[in-house]
Amino acid sequence: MCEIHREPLNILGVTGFVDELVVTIVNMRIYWHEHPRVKSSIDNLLKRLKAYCKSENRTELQLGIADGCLIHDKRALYGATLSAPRIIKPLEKMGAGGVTFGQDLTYDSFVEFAKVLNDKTFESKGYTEANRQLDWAGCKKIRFLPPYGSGEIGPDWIGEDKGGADDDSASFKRKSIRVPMEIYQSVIDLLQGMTIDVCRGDHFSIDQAKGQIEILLESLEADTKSMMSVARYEQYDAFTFGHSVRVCFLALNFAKTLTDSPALLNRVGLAALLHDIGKARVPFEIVHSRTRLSPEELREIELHTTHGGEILLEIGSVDPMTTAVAFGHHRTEDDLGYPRTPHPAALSAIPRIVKICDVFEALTAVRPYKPGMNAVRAFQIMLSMNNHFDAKLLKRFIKTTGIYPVGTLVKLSSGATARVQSQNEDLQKPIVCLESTPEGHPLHKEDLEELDLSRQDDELCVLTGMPEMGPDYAPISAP
Amino acid sequence: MPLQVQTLQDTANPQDIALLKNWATFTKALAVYPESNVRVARGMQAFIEGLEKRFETQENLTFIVYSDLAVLPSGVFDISQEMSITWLKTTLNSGQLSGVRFYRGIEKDSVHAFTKHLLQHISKKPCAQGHDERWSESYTGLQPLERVFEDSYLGLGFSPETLTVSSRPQTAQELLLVELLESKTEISKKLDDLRQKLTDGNSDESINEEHKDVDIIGRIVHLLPADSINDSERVAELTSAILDRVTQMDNTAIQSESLSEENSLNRLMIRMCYKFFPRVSTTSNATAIRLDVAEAHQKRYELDEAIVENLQGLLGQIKELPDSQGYYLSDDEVFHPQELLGIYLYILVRPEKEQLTEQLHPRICEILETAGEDVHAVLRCYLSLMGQAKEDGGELLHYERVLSLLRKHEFMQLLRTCDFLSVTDVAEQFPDQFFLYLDSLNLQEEEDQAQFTQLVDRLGPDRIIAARDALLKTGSFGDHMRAERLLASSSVASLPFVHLIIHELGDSTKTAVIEYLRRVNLEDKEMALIPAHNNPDEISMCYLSMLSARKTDGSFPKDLKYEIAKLLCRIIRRTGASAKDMHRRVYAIALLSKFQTHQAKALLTQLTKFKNVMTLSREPKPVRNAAKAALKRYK
Repeated sequence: MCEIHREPLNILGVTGFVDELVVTIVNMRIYWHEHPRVKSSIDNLLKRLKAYCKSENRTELQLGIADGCLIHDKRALYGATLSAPRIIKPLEKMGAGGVTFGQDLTYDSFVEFAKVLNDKTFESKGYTEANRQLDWAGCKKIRFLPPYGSGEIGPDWIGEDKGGADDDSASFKRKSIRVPMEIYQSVIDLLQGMTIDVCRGDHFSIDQAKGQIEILLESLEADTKSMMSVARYEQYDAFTFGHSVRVCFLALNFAKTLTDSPALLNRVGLAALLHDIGKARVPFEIVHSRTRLSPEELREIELHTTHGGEILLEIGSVDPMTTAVAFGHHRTEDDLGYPRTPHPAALSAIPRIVKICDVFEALTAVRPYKPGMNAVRAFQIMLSMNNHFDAKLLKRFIKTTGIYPVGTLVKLSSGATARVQSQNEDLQKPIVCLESTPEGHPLHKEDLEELDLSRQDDELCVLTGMPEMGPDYAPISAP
Repeated sequence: MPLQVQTLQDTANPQDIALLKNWATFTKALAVYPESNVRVARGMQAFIEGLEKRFETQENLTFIVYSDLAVLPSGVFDISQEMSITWLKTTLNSGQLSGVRFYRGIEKDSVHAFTKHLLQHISKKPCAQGHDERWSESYTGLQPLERVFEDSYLGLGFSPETLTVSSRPQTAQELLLVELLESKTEISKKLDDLRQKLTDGNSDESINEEHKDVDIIGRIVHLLPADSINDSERVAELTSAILDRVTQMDNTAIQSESLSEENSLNRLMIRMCYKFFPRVSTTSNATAIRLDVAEAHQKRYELDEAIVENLQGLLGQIKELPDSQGYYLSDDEVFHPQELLGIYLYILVRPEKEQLTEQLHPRICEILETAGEDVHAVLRCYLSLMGQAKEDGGELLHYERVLSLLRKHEFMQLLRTCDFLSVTDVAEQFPDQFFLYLDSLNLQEEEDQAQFTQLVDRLGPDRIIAARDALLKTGSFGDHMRAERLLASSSVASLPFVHLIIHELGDSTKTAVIEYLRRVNLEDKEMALIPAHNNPDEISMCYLSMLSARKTDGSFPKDLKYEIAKLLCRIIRRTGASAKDMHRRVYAIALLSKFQTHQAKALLTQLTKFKNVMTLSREPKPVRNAAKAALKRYK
């Protein structure tokens, strides 16, 4: 076990910066660099940078890359990593070990940096050439960093969690999470690409998405636990990519209990992944609003379902059920949802499945304007939403997901703490991995013990879920 | 758990609310109807009358709409349930306006010109034009108020560089504050004192006029720091202090300040405000909002603890849900054709979605080909909205596209199959739905013929003849396809409409009409000419037209007799002398015996003679005999 002593705000400042960095890079792919939206993104980014430097009393913000993961201050930023493949991948390809942003970074310098990052020729030229290009452009406040251990004068803060972190467990955790994270990232990357295409008025290739769903499905089959754990990483993202990917994970995991047909599962996965594609046509400011929306803005955001249907129809070769999900995932049998159409809502199974996953994800996810909700609370709310969900499917979903989803830290009736590994018929008796003794002594990695609560003493069950500081702050432990 | 939504209590008086509604009604009427429409005139009248009544007690009236609220002279009003006002708000916002200030003496022309300009500038897309450019024209007695987002300037404060006279209009919140402040006796008195002082010290009338027009309170409020603007008491206190300070200034100083430059009093107010608030924060609200993320994260843990989890209650609720143990996805549950049809039709009728037609039509047709009851129900929903100006978010939905699709892909029979059209409905609404119904029929099929006959029987000749003008007015009989469909029938039910087809299509439909009349094989003697002649050229359109224009009592027009006789005479004269032709002539003479006219009698008399003096030809005996017999019948 390792204890993290850093204040949460530090991590939030960095993840917020990465979030804004992703927004800016994506916006720069969509719009020209003088566009107000790009300007606004860069301004926000620079403000965040200044705020970070001021609060931390530093002159620069350094982001490292190791094992495909963003590193800051000797620790991996898993949440931020998930949403940032468009930053990580080019840096990795040019052989850089990270990037440092100086406190006094200017607008023009950032534009130069973005140009270099988006220029594929530097992937072969390498990071030193990229730095030379920045020098030539007069950009002194951003530097691509050498990889850790390359023998060059590099940042001493990158690499295995030295000092303050338990080397073994950190490394163990990083390795165990790497494959699911890469899959997650590639799906995010795919969605980002699709959104850029839609914003530009181009058509995206649906085949690529189908291929990605197949990979996702295989990975879920192989290691459901790890994949679902990755989906729990709390991070918000400006383009709702993370939400779509998590809904896709949830829907696939759920649908696996309802059918054995790989073809049907692929259809569910694709539909869930693209259910919010229509948001690409809703003004960014509205989708990304962190305040209560006005009625007009609500009307505008409600149009995302119609836009979604239209976008998918424009592509032509899309499964009709994908269109049905994009169009109908906010509709209700009592017609209180949207879009409000002349015909009554008659949702088929896939839209009903995605709808449940969508609401559950929205309730449990962290958003800039709200904290995440635990599953118990989320289900209470979903059950109180009369007729919004198919009762049979909802029950099955609850049984599949559990009131303590996989990865949740729980307190057992014995007083011990454990992490949920998988569900049982009795929702209060999942299979768990003990992390501490009833007396509160943490267990070492080699002592970790898996326990099926349904096969234990009648009295032993989960007492309550435990609030955590989110996976980025959580004590590192074995899965 | 139901969400609790906080709502403001309405404080506006009914008179103002009614006035706002009248304004919305008028604006919408002008958007929907032509200017000459009575609704437009009525709307304008009601609105102007309302304004005049309010001007009895007030100099000007400011109407602002933002979010769910209307800010009226007497208070606020929740507009979320008022569709017409919400529409007005959307329209104003689309013109980048948050509201309008009306002044006493405003005239109809001004309101009319403003509204027309507003309606021309409805646009959801960002407009390159700025407010000043877009609203450069002035309207007597009316001031459009720009829609300004508070985040963009509230809280920014000001600096010496910004010490220029802003032309930016006030926000709703500021306007409210100004009205509140002006209603306070103490401030009102101080304001009067200041104005008096300015006037006393200056003999220049034009400058005094300028001072009179300056909205001093408005300027002060406009320049207050953001953190004070939400506290009306604090605003009143600051405003009062600024007015005191300016009033206390040496008269000469005020005058020199105020006279030094154009619009000087404004400038003076800005300087005074700046002196009062030298350390206003320059941090934008946008940054503040974005940095709230950290707080939201921190709050999570507090909220988690605050959540009261009723775990046992939840488990009980889950138990009560229907059992799903053996539930598996089946094909029936995965594919609902009616769901897809609904989506496709909804997108089809959306504004500006013609480009999707190519993708939508084949998909819709595929579903319609195997349509069941559920699919019919969805189709019916869309068909029933045809002709209605149904709006979605202010945009017109094109339901007629559904009909075009059915017509283009020959699915018109679905109009009847899906119960959108029935004989009873069509008979009741005749002639409104008649053509749609007609288009849905395949009159070559017996079942459809029977339905059509049933309709015509229900209508009766009286109604069909009475509706002739209305039917012709639509020009729908000018459609060749429709005419062909009607004439393809073997039923006499089509007969009442043949006249109309001839009227619209003339000669081009002659063959089809003759074929139809031959098929129906009516027993009237007037019809006898049809089966008698194979050559359509020998049958005049005039005859066919009169033949099909039966009267209410079933009789034919009087002129028909003469037309038939004329035709027969021509045939008898022109037919040659061969054996086959002679047979035709004899038959024609026999027919002519039924239609006695002077011309017919003269011809027959001529034919009875052995030798024709005029033509020097000889008529064969059978012809002469037939002519004699015919003449006998005349007698």
